[in-house]
Amino acid sequence: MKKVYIVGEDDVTKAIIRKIMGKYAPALEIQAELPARGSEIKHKIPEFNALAATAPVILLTDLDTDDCAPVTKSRLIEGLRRQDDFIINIAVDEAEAWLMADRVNFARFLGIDIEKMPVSCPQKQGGMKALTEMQIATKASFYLTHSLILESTKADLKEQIKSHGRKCKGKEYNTALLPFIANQWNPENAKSNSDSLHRMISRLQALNAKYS
Amino acid sequence: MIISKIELHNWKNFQECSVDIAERCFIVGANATGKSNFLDALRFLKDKAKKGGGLQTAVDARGGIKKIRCLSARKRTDIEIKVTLKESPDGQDKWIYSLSFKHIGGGIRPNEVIVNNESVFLIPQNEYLVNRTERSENETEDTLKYTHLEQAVTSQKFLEVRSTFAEIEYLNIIPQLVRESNSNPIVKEDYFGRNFLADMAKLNENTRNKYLQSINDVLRCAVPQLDNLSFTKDGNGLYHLEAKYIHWRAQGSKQTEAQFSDGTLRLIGILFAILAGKGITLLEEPEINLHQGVVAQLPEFIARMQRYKKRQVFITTHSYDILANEGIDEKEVILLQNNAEGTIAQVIADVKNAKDVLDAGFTMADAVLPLTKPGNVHNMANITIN
Repeated sequence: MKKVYIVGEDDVTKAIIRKIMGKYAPALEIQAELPARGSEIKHKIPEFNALAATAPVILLTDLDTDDCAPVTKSRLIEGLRRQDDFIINIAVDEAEAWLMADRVNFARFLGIDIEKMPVSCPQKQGGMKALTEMQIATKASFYLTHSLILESTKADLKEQIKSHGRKCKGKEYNTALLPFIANQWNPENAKSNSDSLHRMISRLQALNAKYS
Repeated sequence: MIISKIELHNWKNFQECSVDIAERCFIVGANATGKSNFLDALRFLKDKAKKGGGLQTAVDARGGIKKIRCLSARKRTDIEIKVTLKESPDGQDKWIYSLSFKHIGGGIRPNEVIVNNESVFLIPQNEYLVNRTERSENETEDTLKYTHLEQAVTSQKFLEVRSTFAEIEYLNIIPQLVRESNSNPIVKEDYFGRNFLADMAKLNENTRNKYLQSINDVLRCAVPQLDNLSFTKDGNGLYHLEAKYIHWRAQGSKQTEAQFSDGTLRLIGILFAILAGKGITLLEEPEINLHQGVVAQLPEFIARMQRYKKRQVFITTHSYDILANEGIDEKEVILLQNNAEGTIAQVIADVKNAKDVLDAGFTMADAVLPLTKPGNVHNMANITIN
């Protein structure tokens, strides 16, 4: 088993990395989750890159506002020679959009009609080819906590996820989403609605093959 | 004197443990890996060496040998503590004190312990000043109930070892106990604050005022609404800490320890232990009750104190803010991790994956805290609450 470091900004992104690793990269094992305190990952890119010289580092972060994924990625590693095993993944536009990309299971999880789920469509990302991503009017987590969850027929779940303030998430947001990610979310369904997820899966499959 | 190495065998969580110790030593690990039990090995030596102490007293205070022996103990059933000492951080090792003890009694005989082996080795002279076992001449079951370390006559030649252990300072203030201290009878020895005010009263007034001045200087920074910390005696002869609480009235109001916040009392207790202790100081999770901004100052404050007082400090901690201090060296941190054979203790300088993270430019917090986080802690989200 190859030991790897995983890097996520919050519990949801780390749970997504764990899930994708478990499903597509069985030869990899988590050495540690970094950083010790979240939301500091964009300031520590040179350190993650240096660490990747000793063991693979799998990073998952959200898309910066107004940027496309390649621009966000190139900004992150600006001025650095990226180590081969520093695997940078950008969720478009947020990790929560990847969860919604498994429309069938997410609708079932929320207890809503699938017709109410957002859909994916090809989007311009600055390159030659249009990329398929979920089309959500606001940031995915904001849409989930302020709009989509209100449609839910599950009272408990609604109470856990819906925002109780202007900007915050639900009081038991992670408690609700983490079991979904571990048990119900199917990245195989989701990747057809999100090229950014598809690419992360391909990168981890390649890393897995390298160390198998 | 400072401790340069600790070796434990069958001591509580530690079936086998051997670690080099720095002048400032941070002990990190998940809950229940044995951080406090590691410190307790040193407190045990204190309990043995202090006035009125001794081997039987130290074992009884811990509930008997069954409560001390490692649950992972295998064929070898004795308990051993071995400590190497040196004069200064840069000096050469001077003494090795080793004690192994085991159970006797049971049934109609009282449960006691006897020395299995006690030795005191003077390294520069390459000489054992003490080396006793059951088979040694003139030793009987009765003589072996006492260590040479705890007896004034038999420890004459290695008095500095005895003093080093006896002067180990451990103060883990529980604020509620300080507030209630005047309603509790004085207990013989207390590490949790019940005797805190009485101990302060025993100090020479000038010395006490000097310490209070230093504590007050820190409080002015950490708790700016408090000033003029002083030690007073009320009409009933009871001692109090008193400070001025600054508010909109020009003179402010006086408050005593009964009104101080938990954090204020904890901070006063930590500072008092650091300032007033004579020897090796053990600090148990100093971050408790304190704001992270204050906690972040502690590593450098302790280092500054050490520069003046030349005193070794052990600190158990879970704190990101303490460990994020960039002055913490890989030789200063001991990582405790559980496995099937008990707890493994390693200096971070010997932990490859933590060193890789440090070498990549991360702080000690990023290098060690992910290793102390329980692997399945995220599964708390799956727990059903009925």
